[in-house]
Amino acid sequence: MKRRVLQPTSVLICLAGITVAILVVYPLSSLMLKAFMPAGRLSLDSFREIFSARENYVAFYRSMFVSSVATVTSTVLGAFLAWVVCRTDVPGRRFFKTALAVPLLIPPFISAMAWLQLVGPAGYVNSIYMAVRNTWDPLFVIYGPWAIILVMTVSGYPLAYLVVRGGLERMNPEMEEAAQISGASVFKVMRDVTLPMMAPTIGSAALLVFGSKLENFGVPAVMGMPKNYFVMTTKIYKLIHQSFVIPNALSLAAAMSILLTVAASVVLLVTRRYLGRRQYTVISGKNVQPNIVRLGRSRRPVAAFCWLIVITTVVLPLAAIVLTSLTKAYGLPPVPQNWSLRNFRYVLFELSTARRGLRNSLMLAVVSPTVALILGSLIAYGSVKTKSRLGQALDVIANMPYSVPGTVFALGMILAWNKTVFGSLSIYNTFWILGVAYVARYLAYGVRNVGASLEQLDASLEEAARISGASWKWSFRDIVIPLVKPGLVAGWFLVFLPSLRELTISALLWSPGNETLGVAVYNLHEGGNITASSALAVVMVAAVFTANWVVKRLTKGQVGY
Amino acid sequence: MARVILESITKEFDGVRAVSDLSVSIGDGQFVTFLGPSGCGKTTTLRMIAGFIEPTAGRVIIGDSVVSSPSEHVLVQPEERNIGMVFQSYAVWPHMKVVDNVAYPLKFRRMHSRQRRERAEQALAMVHLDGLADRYPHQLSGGQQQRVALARALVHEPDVMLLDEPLSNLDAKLREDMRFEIKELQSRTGLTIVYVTHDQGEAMAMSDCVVVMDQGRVMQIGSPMEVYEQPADQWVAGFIGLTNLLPCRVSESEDGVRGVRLGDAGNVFVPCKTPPGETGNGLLSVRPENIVISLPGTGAGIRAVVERATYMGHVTDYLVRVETLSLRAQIMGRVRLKIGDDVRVLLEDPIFFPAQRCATPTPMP
Repeated sequence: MKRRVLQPTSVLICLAGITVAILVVYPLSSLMLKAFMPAGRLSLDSFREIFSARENYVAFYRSMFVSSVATVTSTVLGAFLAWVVCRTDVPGRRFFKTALAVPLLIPPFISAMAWLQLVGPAGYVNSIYMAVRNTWDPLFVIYGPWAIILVMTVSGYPLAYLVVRGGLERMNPEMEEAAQISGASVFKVMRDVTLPMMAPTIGSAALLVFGSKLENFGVPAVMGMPKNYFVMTTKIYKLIHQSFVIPNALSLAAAMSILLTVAASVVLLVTRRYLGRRQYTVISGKNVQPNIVRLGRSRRPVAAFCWLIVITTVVLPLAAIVLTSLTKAYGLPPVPQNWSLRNFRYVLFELSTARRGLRNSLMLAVVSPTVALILGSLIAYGSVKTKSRLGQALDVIANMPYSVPGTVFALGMILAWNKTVFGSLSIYNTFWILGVAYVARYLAYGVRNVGASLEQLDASLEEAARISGASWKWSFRDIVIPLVKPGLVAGWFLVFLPSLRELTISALLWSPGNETLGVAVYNLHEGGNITASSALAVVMVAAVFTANWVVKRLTKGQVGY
Repeated sequence: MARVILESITKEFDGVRAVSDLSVSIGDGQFVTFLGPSGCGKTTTLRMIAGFIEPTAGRVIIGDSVVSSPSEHVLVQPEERNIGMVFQSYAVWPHMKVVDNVAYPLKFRRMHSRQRRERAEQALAMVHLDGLADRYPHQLSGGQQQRVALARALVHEPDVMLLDEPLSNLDAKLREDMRFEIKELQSRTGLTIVYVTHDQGEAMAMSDCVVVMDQGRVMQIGSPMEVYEQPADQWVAGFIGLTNLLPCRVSESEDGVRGVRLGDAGNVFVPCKTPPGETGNGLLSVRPENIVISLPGTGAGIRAVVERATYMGHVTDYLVRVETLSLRAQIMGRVRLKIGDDVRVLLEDPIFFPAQRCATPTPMP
């Protein structure tokens, strides 16, 4: 008989809706209110003030400048390396294939710290130069925009490399073979077929890099702030910290956040529109062995270049922080008689902030993926399977905290929770504001991963269960859950890894007693304790590498590099 | 086993009629095929029997119970209909072993797990998959997965078994073998089978009864022989098998034999059955294998010229021109004709369709 009862799914989706409203809509609308209604009524004063003070609007230009240059350098480098690894007979290509992705594991702000130690005023390169030449003038001083661009390129090219490599691996080799059969030389095949057909992929790789550079906080914080070189993210950070001195600092920060978000979205939309018109259907599902280009005489130079990249982006930075973490005091020559494990003993056993940071980060890395995945599954099911309007709306909203820059979302969280709500409830200045922010920020991963698995789930699989006699509940338990489990597992780890190394959000939401690992490293560095910060950075990188290795084994290469 | 009755069912999707006013009665133990070009509404009809789609109007009856009837607010859920179904994509669950796939319907039919396994293995034996019970689907070929789907659809002795283009993903040779196997399975189990296909070969080889559909409507219901030899109209004649459809006019020969005259000039007379009182224009359907070709002097017939000859193994396919008309003929045996040969043709078993009935829409996708 026909029954129209309230299904258990609709109740769950409504609950998810309320949670998303608190987690996402509330902070983002608080941000909008602060930006557009600074004094309780609608006004654009904050925006006017940004554009009237040079020190404010210059941050906007600088953000655009460093992100654009770093995007071009990262994409060119990443695309070239992807081609070398996928299409040429460069010696050691199997090794390079994984090694070139490794910098993605090193948190950018740690990479920035390492580069300061390498080529900063008192860095290893300059020290050696000064010792050898017996002079007090450093070889070069690296700080400011070009240092930021350098580190952003070093930490950004692997992203472009991975995206382009994926495209090349899936590209139908018959396209290239057809050009070869037509008489095109190896070089012309690349110029006339491979490159034009990969253009959309390279474009979307560039877009991805640009987004991540524009919202990056760690690199400009380490390399720009000490020299008063501010970009949007660091400017917002500074304004928030000045809110006790400057009365309308939070409104300014909110307005600047809106500007940053709009800038990121405009670039995204324009590029997507341009790319959308030229999407080729070149991608064939199967993984096929493509034609290999014989490099001939260029084989050695190309291999040398790959080695140079691996050494400068992985070996040297890691060696620098390991050396520094082992030296007794920063500035001493890194020779064995100056070595000790004192710094490690200090950060692991004596310094309470570091230990708390380690504990909190581990806790966040377990809690946030779990909650984000449960909530994300509900939303994905609501939007993909039941096709309900609420489910589809939640899908869009749940993606927002990840689409806006982390600094912007953290500011929204501050504005939403720096007062008591519902009587005496306040999570500001507690561990929980970090937890809530992490869950909201990574909710997108949960929704996308589970959503993708659900979309691949052919409707006939569930129908076959129904026709076998299974009710909706049984079919969900026996068919849907087991089949989306791989997606759930992959999604969990995809949140676990970045949670472990997070800095941008934590830098704004931590409070004394509630540090994260990233915050602890950053604060030590800011406080000038370079050796201790390096030791803790080594711990952090080791934790990330180990986690990545475990995750890669557990997910059979699905997640991890 | 049970009968299935569709009482003038209609299905509209957003105002577009996918199936309109369709009535079919399927007897207990019958093998009925819904045949038609893609988009003709055959799969929609099948899914209405299964209960995945609720008809906009009409009634679906399985056995003695009404399972869908929007006017009476009845919609029995698919899981409560006791149906077996084979999907086009097989829908074999990749995370379950073969035996667990097959035994799944038994889970909802109070049975001990030992007995379930036993029954599942019997069903697997029936589709010749003995010994593969503990494999996973990805370890099986496409044809074997197909058999798993078949076993799962019959393991619980359903009232009706529905098959939705089950053979379309198999290669040609396997497809032919499976036809006979499914037919044989049906005669062994006595299942009522509703089969959906766009492949007329499948429909002819297996069905007791073929429901020819186009644009959501039934064009003809009949045995394979009936729909082939006595097509209801020229659309059915053209859809099932090959045929020559020749414009013609009803006439009589000099000696009073009723028939039609072909072509613009009307010089060629072909005797055939025409409706009494019919005098207008129409189409004459002649199947290629019903055209007899002989060399001049060896037989009677209409003068024709060979325009094209294609050797196809079991037959040779000729295009012959009679005045301004081109006719396709298929000849068995070893007659060898060359292009340009003068021949005589006889048109056997022609069927005349009057013009007003030809006015029915006949788009072929």
